[in-house]
Amino acid sequence: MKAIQFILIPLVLVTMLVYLTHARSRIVGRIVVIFIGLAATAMVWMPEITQRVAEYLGVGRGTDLILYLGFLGLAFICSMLFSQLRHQEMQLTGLTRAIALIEAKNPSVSPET
Amino acid sequence: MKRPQDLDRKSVFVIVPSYNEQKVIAATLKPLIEAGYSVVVVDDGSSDRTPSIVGRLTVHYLRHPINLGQGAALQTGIDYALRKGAEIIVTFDADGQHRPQDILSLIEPIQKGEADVVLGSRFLRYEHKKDVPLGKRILLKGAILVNILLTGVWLSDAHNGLRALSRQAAEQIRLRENRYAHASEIMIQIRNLKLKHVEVPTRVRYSNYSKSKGQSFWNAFNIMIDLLLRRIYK
Repeated sequence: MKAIQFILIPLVLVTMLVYLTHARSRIVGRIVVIFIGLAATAMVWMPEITQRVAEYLGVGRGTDLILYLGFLGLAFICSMLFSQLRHQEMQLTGLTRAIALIEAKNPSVSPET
Repeated sequence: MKRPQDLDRKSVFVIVPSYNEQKVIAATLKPLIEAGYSVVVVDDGSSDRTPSIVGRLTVHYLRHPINLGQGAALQTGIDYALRKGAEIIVTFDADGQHRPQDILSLIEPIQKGEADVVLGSRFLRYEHKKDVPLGKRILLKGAILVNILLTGVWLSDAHNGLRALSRQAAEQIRLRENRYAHASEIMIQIRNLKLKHVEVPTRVRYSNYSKSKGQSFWNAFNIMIDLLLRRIYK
């Protein structure tokens, strides 16, 4: 087993777990984005770092490492967005329903002959 | 002078969710009105002439400003009916597939206290099998299997829009699936809430119109995915 697998697999599982419990938590999403920003900055600033870290973890190239981590990060963010979307749909439903109930029309009674 | 049975029927609220059914909605509603039920039309954001057509009829009329789906329309209708003091709530399709006279057999077990939820089934009587075209029958048998997997409840007809709920059942059920997954969601809730449910035979009438509006094969997958997502994302 390569070191990278030891890292990626728990990361994937932790990602799933964290988001499952805090799917729409503002802070978790922000932490992930900040982390990605910092990591991206570091990698651009010192490109050799990715190669060294990659070799240490057993990944062929630095760019491969960036690919793996980048993909994970994106998957996580997409998942959070999707969760937000569902929540908004629920709110929209509630609003629409409230409007329908407020504007409800009683049957117009036809005069009995 | 109102007869006692008129009063009883007015406490039966028939909810008809409707989306762009201007061609058939009036024909569907008239027999229900004549039968003396309280008819609740929930217009799910129709863009056709449904509002003006229904406006001329003696029904309760609610309108979603945007289209949400049949499940959402039903829940809105249920909320409304409960507010208006409904004792029994019936769900009834707008396209004319259901027979108004079947409502009587639907509400009977509730009136007798034998069940909280009564579900119509097209497949309880062997002779009635032929009502349903073969292709659709196969599709529906598949739906039954899927339904068992998803809800753990066996029904002879898993996708029949004709149902009756007692007031207590309606108060406890909360449909969160806006689109077609509501049919399975209602069974899941019935099982979790341990509501007594029973199936009664009902007939279905297919016209060329309603046949063309039937559920597509792919909808089954949509429903399964919807329910799976519901479990994940809650």
